[in-house]
Amino acid sequence: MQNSPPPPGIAFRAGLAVLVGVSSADAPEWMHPDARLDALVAAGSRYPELRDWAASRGIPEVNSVPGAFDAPLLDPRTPREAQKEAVQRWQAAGSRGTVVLPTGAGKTLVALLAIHRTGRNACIVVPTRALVSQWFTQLADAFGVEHVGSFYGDEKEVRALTVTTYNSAFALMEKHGARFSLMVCDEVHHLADSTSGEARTRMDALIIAPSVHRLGLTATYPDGQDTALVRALGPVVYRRSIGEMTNIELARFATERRYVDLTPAERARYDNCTDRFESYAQQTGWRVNAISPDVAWKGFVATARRQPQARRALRAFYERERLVRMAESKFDETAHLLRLYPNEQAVLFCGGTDVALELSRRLAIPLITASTPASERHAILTAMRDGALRAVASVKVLDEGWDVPNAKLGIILGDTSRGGARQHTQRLGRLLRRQGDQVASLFELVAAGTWEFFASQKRSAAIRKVADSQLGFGL
Amino acid sequence: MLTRAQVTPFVRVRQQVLDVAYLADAKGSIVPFLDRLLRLTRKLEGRPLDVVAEALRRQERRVRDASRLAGISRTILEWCDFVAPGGAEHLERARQQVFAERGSLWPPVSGDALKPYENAAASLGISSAELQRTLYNDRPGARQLRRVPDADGRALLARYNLELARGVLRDATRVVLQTRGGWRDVFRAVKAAGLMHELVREGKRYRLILTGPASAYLIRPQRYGVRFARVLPVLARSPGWRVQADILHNGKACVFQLRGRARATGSTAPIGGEPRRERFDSAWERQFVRDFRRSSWATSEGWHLTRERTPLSAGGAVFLPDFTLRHDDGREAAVELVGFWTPEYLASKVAKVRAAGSAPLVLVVARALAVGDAEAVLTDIGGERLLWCGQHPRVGDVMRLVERVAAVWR
Repeated sequence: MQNSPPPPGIAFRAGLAVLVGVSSADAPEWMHPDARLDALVAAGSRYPELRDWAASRGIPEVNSVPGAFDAPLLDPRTPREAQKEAVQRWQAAGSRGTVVLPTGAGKTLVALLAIHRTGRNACIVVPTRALVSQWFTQLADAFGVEHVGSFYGDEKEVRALTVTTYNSAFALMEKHGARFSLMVCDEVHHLADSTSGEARTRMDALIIAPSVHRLGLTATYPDGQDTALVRALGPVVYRRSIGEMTNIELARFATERRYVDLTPAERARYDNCTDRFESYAQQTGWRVNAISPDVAWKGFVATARRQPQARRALRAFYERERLVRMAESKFDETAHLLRLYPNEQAVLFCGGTDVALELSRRLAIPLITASTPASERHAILTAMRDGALRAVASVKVLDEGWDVPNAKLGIILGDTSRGGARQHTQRLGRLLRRQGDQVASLFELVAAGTWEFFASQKRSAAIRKVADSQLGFGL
Repeated sequence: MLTRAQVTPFVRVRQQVLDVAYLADAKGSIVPFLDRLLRLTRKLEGRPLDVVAEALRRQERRVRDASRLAGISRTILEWCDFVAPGGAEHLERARQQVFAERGSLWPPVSGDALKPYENAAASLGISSAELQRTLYNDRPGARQLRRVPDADGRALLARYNLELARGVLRDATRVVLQTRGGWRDVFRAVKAAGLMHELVREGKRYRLILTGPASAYLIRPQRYGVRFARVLPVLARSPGWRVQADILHNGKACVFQLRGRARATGSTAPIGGEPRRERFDSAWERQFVRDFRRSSWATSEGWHLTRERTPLSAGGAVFLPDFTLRHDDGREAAVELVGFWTPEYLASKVAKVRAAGSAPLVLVVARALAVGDAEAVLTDIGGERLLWCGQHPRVGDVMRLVERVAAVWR
């Protein structure tokens, strides 16, 4: 009944590259003993190296080797110059690196070409569930639905091409990582925000992933904060900006800010909330005494936790935000704009779920949020593409990545980043997929005489930065 | 599970030891307040989650610390049963109809707000205005409160404190567990959480060391914290449980300790729930225990049977036999009863017995309850640790074998 030492072998297990039956002295120096497994281990991303090392010594692999993927590419689109060039540069860089292209420039086709040319099983990682269903459809159309699976929430079907979210990627890699030679990461700027714990968590999936080929895609590459990105995916191998591609491969666009008034009742309530908030700020001096606005705000929120007076001031602040977000005249102006552009498909970008729900109920238009079931989301986006639906409302889900080429009218009723540049650029990008000579229009509805004016100014600055050769009326 | 914002304000680190300011009822005012929150929640049965959550939030005018209330409210909400309102299953289809109607009535003009709702409403048997109002009643916040647990303020206090401890484990990098029983459920939870373990015996107790497989390589080594936290409620139902965790709090390493059923003194409070009574897997086991306790082996020979499932480390896995038999002189042996079996089931048991090496373990197999022919499976484990029996194991036969294999464990 004595246990004999196991025969030499390698395996990918629970995110680890595992080597058994070989002593430390004979193993690669980057492998470490692990008493839990009675084996030598390294991070899963070193598994390709371990496989090469084992192959040269005739040591067998416990996992099945990632399968070759040889399904033909059925996509009828002819790749444009920028897309072909991007794939060539990526391959020349050893099939590792990030391609930076503006929204609408066809990043998805770049990924499809990369999968086809690599000829290996691939896992595609995206930030939202909405994008899972969109990628699923695109991959199914391009290679056949029998090759495509998705892995997130309750849906966990692993196939040669598997789409997952950044939140589920770690679990997918832990269990099935050895099956994928290629990892495609969409909207990779989500991996680089060094201030966000979420970004660090997402990066973990890339550390344990044993995929040797990696492709990153984004329209807003986080230059200067990209050390971890370069380590995980490789450097930027190809880059084009909105300005370079407008009117060539992207639609021209115009932006316009429209002021709306609060109703007298809303104005009275807004002023009352402002008074309550400001009088507290003046009495306590928390804003003046802090070294930076961020520190001041954190201190204020912490005080509100323990002090009823500060709590009331914080409530007043939130109520003020809600009043601006839900301003009655924004709903009226939205309906007015939809009537002004009856032939355009529209995307309504909201600042909160409450606004989006209200808009959807009033105008009888669909809504996509993070909790919209996959089937419904898929049906809405399909109907938008077919032209059966004319408008869709969303909070954040549709800010990035999704694709309705005909949508050329955008209305911003609010944002979730107080004028954040990235959110605004991404929202604009939704409208830029070129359709003949159509010009995209992006309207911002701003409650006059409120804090929203300043958020709108920040958005305008973001647009000026990405493209200064636009129609740009109203700026 | 509580959010970070609901836990962090109650965490202090002094000299690398992490303390949690548990909620205690030192002045006798907390439990009545918690009772009141539960009564309020019961009054709202049938109302949507959003409404219940807001009603609980509004109680913040009665408390000094809003984070405490937010954590307690979340504990209550997660404890309650919420269900989708009647008819919610038809709403997705109804919405599709409404939106398709609007698509053909484009653009929206003043006075036509309810037109798209009319057809869909007729098929659901409600008015168009009602459909417009309830259009999204299948969203999570519209789920209705069906049942509030039949618990009092003291039970809520214990549950909230356990939730605080779970929240702390979110930042754990390594966790050591101890318990006097309930191992089967604990191992099941550890396995379900995808954690790795090492089992270390210290005298009559075991320490189970839990780690995340790839912890050492990750940017955020607390990656598996949520999984550790998942094990805690299961552990907290075991008798005499303890936890020691390595925590990375704000980038600094510290230690967090926790043990079950602490008395409510000073800043501590009862944590967790009542230990759960161990269940018998079958009438077969229950009968054996009853027979043993009546026999002279128990009454005069110095043997004691415990249903504590003493874990045996078995080649990287853990094997939990059904019983442990201990003698007054320190010898002990584990007993595994195999009732209905198939060749495959028996083969997996045999593999575990073999992996347990020289540990004193007896396998009792009911020949009469075989499903298929599988005697060949048993030939290689040797007769010295295997006992065939008929319909029921006889205590005398089992104990004579136990006498032969029992040993003092070190």
